This record gives sequence, C-alpha cells and structure tokens, in this order.
Amino acid sequence: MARSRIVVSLEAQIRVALPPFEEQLDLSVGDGEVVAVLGPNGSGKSTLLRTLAGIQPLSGGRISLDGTIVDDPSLGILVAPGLRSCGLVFQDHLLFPHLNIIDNVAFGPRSRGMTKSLSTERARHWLDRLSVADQAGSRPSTLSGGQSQRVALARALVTEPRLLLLDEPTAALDVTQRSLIRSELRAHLGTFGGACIIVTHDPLEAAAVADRLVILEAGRLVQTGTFADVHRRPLTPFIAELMGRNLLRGEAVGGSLPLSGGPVLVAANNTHGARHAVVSPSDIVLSSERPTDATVAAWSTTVVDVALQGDCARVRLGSPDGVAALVPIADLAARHLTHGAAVWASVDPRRFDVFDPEEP
Amino acid sequence: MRAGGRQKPPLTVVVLGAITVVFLALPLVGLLLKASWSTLWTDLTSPVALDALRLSLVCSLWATGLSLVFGLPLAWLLARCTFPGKRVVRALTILPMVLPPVVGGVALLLAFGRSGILGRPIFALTGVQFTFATAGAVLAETFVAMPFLIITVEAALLGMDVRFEDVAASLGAGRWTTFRRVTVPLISSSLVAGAALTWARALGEFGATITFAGNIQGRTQTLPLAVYLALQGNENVAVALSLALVGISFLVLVALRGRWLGAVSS
Amino acid sequence: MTIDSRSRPRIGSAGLGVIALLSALSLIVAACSSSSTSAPTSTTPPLSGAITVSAASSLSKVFTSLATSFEAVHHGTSLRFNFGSSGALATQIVEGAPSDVFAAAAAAPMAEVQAAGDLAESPTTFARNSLEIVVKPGNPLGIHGLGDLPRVHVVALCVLTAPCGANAAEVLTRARVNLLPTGVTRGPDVDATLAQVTTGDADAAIVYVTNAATVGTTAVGVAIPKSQNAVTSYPIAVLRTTSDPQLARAWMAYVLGPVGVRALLQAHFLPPS
Repeated sequence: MARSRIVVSLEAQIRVALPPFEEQLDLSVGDGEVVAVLGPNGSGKSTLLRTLAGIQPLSGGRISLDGTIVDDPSLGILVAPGLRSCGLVFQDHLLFPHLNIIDNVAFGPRSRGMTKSLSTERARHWLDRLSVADQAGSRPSTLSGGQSQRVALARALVTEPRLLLLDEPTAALDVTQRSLIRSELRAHLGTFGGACIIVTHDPLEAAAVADRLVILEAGRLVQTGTFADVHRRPLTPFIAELMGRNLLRGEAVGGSLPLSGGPVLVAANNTHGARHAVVSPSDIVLSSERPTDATVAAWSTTVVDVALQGDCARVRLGSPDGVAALVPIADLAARHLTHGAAVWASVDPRRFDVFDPEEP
Repeated sequence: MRAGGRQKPPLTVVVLGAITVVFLALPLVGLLLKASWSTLWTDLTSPVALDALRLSLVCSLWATGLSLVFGLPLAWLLARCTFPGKRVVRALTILPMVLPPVVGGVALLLAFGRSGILGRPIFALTGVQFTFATAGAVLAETFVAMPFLIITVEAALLGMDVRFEDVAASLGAGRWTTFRRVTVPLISSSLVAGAALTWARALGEFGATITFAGNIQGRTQTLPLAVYLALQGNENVAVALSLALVGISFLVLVALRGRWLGAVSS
Repeated sequence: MTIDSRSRPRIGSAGLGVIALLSALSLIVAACSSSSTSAPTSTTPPLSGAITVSAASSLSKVFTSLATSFEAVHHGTSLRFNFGSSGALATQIVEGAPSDVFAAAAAAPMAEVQAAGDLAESPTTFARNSLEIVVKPGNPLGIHGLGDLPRVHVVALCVLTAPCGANAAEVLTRARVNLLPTGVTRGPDVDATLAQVTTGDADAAIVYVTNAATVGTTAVGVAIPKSQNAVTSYPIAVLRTTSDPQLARAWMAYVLGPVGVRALLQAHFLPPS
C-alpha cells in the first residue's frame, strides 16, 4: 500500500521490567498501517499489547498516540485504558456473558456517556458492517467462533479507536474458518483509519493481513520489515524457521566464508566479519555419497528428523542446527533417508543469499 | 461402560443419603407433630409472637443490608489488592464465625456497651446507646453474619476472569462502571447465595443478641429469643414460633435454590 | 455489699422437723448399708456412684461448695449439677431428662413436677430467699427503693416463668410500681439477669438476696423492705426416676443437715422456717 505521506500515529519506546522478564523495544506505526508482531512464547508480545492498551504500566520509556503522551513514567503521566482511544480484541474474545450481543457492542459508547438509544444504533451499524446483525439479540455462548470474533471486533471498533490491538485473532478458530476470517480482516483493516497491531504466531496470517512485520524474541525487537524482506533475509534462527527458510552463519575471512556446521563458501577478498547465508529447504540436495561436482557447496551430516509437508518430506539435518531440506517423498526410500542415517547435503552456491546481518 | 444415559447410583450412597435426609427432616417432623394446631393462630398472633416476628424480619434484613454495604468493599480489597497485614485482616473477618456467639456478645459489650471503648464516647457525645435498643440487635446480627458474605464474595471475585475487567477498562468504563456493569453481574449468583446465607445466619442469631442487645419485647426480642424463653413455660407458643421461623426460612431457601444456586453450574 | 443486715438464724418448728427427718434418713441409710467393719458411726456408710442434681441458678455457688465437701467425705462419689431457671428445669424433668434430685427456687415448679408424678416423695423446704435490687457501683442514679425504678433506662428482671421473675412481678405490683415493657430486659435465669448489671448496661436488676451477696465490687445492693418484699421457699426432693436412690437421699440429707444449713445461711439464704 503506497502512500505519499505516512502520519505516525503510534510512537512507543517500551521499557518494562517484570522480573525476571524485561522488555525493551521501540516501535512506530503509521495511520492506516497494519503491523504484525510475531515471536516465540514468552517473547513479550502480550506485554507489548498490554502496555499499549494501558493495562500494564511502563517501567520506563514513553508511549504517545497521535502526538499525545499516554504513558511516561519519568513525567508521571499514565492515561487510563478507557481514555486512550485504543481498541483491544482478546484471543478468546471475552464477550460479556451476561449481556446479549447488541449490549456487548454498545458497552463502550454507553460507558463513555452516550445515551442508550444512540449507542444501540451505533452498535447495530457496526454489527451490520461485520455481517453479524442477525445475532444482535443472542447471547455470546450461542455464537460460533467466527461470529464471536466479528462481534469482538465490532465491540472494539464502535468506539472509533485510533489504535487497534488484536491478540491472535484467528487462534481460537478452526482451520476452515480461518481463511475466511482472514480475508474479512484484511478488508476491514483496509478501511480502518488508525494504526493496527496484530499479534500472531502464524506467518501466513501476517503475510495476508499486515503491511509490516515486527519480530520479538526475549523482550527485544530482533527484526522488522515487510514479509518479503523478512522472508528473504531472516536475522535469527527462529525467524528463519518461521519463514520456512534455512539460516546458516559464519565468519568471513580472507576470501573464505566457512559456515558453522555447514559448507565453506567463497567470499570476496575484502569481506570480513559475521555473515548470514540464507537458503531455501528445496535448494538443498541430499545424497548418500559426496557429490562429485566440485562447484557445489557440500557438507556431511546426519538425518535427525523426517516430517511430511504436502507431497514432500522435510528432512531436518544434524548440522547446522535447525537446517532442513525439502525432498520429494519418492526419494526418501530411494536414498535411505532414515533417522540417524549419514547423508551429504549439497547446495548450488549461487542459491545462497549471503548478507551482513548488520546491514541487511 | 454405558455409552450414555444415567447410571444407577450405588446402593451405599443411596442408603447414606437417605439416612441423612431422615436425620435432617426428623426434627422438623417432630415440630409439626408437637404443634398445637388448634391454638396455632392465636399463638402466632399474640403480641409476643408478632413483636418477635416483626423484629426478626426487620433486624435480619438490616443486618444483610449492612453486610452488603460494608462487606462488599472489604471483600473486593481482599480479593484484588495486596497490603501489609492482609492475613490479619482476613483472619479478623473469619473470627466472628469461629467465636461462640455469646463470646461475640460479650466482646460487643466491651466495644459498644455504654462503658465500652467506642460506646462510651458515642454515648457521651450523642446519647446514643446500642444495648437494649433494636440497633443493638442489628449490630449483633451483623457482627456474626457479615463474615459469610465476605468470604463468599471474595471467593467469587477470585474465581472470576479478571480480563473481563480489563476489557471493560479498554472500552472506556471507569472503575465504578466496571464494577457495577461487569464485575457484579459476573458474580451475581455467588452474591445472592452469600446474601442468603448472611440473612439466614442473622435470622437465627441468639447468643450475641441476648447478651449484647438484651431481651426486651418489641425492641430486641427476636424470634430465637422468644422461642427460647417461651420454652420455659409456654411450650405451645415456642413450637408455634419455631414453626414460623422454619416456615419463613424454608420458603426463602426454596425460592432461592431454584434460581440462583442452580445458575452457578450453568 | 448490702446496706441492710441479715437476721440471725433461729431454729424453729420447721428446723425441728428437719432434724427429725435427718435422723430418720440416717437410720434408713444405716439399715441399708451392708455389714462393714469400718468406723462405727451412723453418718458415713460407704457411698459411691454419681448422680445428677437439677438445681435453681441461685443455688449454684452454695451447692457447688457443698458438693466439694460431700465428695471429700464420701470418696468415690461424684455429683453433677444442672443449674438453670427452676421453670426450665421442671419442664426438662417432666419431658424425661434424667435427673436424681430437684431443688427449685419456688413451690410452683416443684408442684409441676409432682403433678406429673415424677417425685419419689413429698418435697422438703430447705431454705428461703427474698429479693433485692442491684445497681451499678456507687449507685450513680441514686436508687433507694422500688419507687425509683421507673425513671431508670432499663431494668433487668428474670423471665416470668422463673420464680425470680414471678416474685419480682408480685413485689412490683404490691409496691404499685409500673415498669414500661420497653424498659425491661428479661434474663433467662437469675445469673444472666444479674450479669446485665455487673457486665452489661442495665441500670438495675431485681435478683435474689443471695445473688446480691456475691457481687463484690461489680455492683451495689439496695434492700427491699420486708413489707414490700416476697419470700420464696426452696423445696428439694428426690426424683422417682433416680438411678441411685441411696446417694440421692444422702445428698438431700447433707443439704438438710448441719453442714448444709450452715452453708446456706452463710450464703445469705433464709432458714426454711
């Protein structure tokens, strides 16, 4: 989505100390921008959402929304969640069980002082937009996963927030509902004027819905960029695995780049320092003997794990750590690729994308 | 293993259950048999009985109301906050349940009696005296019954999903609005059960009332006091009053059980 | 501490009757005892066992101390007491509560038990009591007689079904003193009634002279003149359903005997005459 001018609506320097966990990251999101936040469990994704929503106060740093500071411990500013113009949708939706749907959605405006009739009208408008108006009188317990997700979204959007936070929006849905909801989300978020942050563990969802990815590990931001950028050049093993790519690392010196646990690549004479080499699993060829072609980069390793992936087999290798090859199923038996078997892995060196992690 | 449908209960369980039902029902059956049905109406409409009935209803309802007003905030503090001395406070709230009621009455005397720690200055400044006054009976009943409300509500608050309060806050609800429109409805069945228990305890209170508030017909002589004293000479009246007490309690508990305690499981 | 003084005890005709009864009982007891080579006295045949004595609250202190000396003299015996309002005790006995001896604070409760056929023999009066007003230490409200009671905030009286309460009502009626019902708190027995003044907030109570004698510094007694006062007789009797008639009669004899008489007089009971 190209735009001529990006208005930054969210600027955050997040510093949270919840011993033994510590979070430290800087984040800006523009108007209309959708950012997906990914990371392993315990990486701080929920903490990030909670600080932005105002449920968890910062230990340091600052959060400003539309130029207004909403949290700054050093200045003693802490704006309550309700006053932040921030909409929050939880993973399990958390619709109020004692209210019917229309009252659930009208809850926000009513709490802010709007009259009952006006807030009900607003609620109905949003239920219409999200195609769940027919459930207006029902109780939350009678809704399907997809319906309740839309209602939760309507409830957040009816207050016209400037910042929308979604916590794993499709995690509670079954597979068939997921792609439908995903495309709906994309449509709704496309028309949403404020900043939107989605926490997800699904890279496909991130690819489908988000403009930009932010990846957290252990409370730190380790990579940000478009899906294509991150997919092409993942900076950590976790990200590589998330993207379904292989990340090998090594130190370039004197024209040679030995990748730890893997082959030795040729590098330009003047390259020094740490290098990442990324290669797709389908580019790794497995054989029981050393390849005779001297131009390929090859190394000896073992088979650790075999898993089916579509009509291929994903073979996890012993070294480097976490590296896998994608092999047609027919080859499995032919090449005796069983657990513990010794194999030779080889890759056309031109298939490696080598880059300096400091300047991807 | 049966695929569906209900299993027949084991015989031992049925027998034990039946024995318990008999054990609980027999005293009530005894009351019904002992009642002098011919004089029942006159017994129940005698001045002593009417005064006792009125006082019991008025005082127990007041005690329940006061327990709600003062017990709810404390239950909320215990459930949601940490503060120094919290364990002591919690022990204090349970203490009246553990104390023999007469001991509670004596303690109340020492605190709120005319020569008591708080009673003396109150009497000196305002001339208000709790002993031998209906307010004293209310005070005694509140003292013994409030703990039931506090622990029921505290448990309910601890058991509910706190994230609902987070959601409400994020939607713009202030703390009072969240409490009123989200928290209380979510714990409503426990709240009602707690209030019912509190009311029942207040209604049946005897030891603290007679020791602290005294035994004055029309002022502090609630149904339990009237029954105890009637037993000493006028058994018919005692049985009639007992039946009245049992009848009221039974009606309320049956009415409640069906709607509220059943809602807990749904 | 009382303001009035007690009259000195005299043995009258009733006292002679008591002595006669005592002798008769001793003979019976001696006749029933098995031949023993113990000390050749007629007063201490070997007794043992346990009995329950139902007695009016006003007798609690004196009976308890008598029991201690009785058990000391008769090793192996055990006396259990059930103190309470005589009316309540009578009801219990008639309903079948197991008891061996009944000592009441008035004739009416005893008559009730007798009418139900639960007495082993006719009751014997062993003491009498009259009423006294008790007020807070220092008598701050300046109460000097029954006539001062109406202006007091709350007066503690026993329930009407207790002899102490019935007698108080009689005394008040005779003195033409009207107390408002909202100014009267009723205690289930005389001990509870007294406690309303000594530890509670009642300004005055009408209790027995014997109760007033025990207050120490926690209250002050105000005498009721004899002309206005009521005297209640304390009967004692062995119950028909006693499990140990020998021990029951021995206890009764002890109460009626010189030790008992002395203890009762010391406790400010009036003699039975």
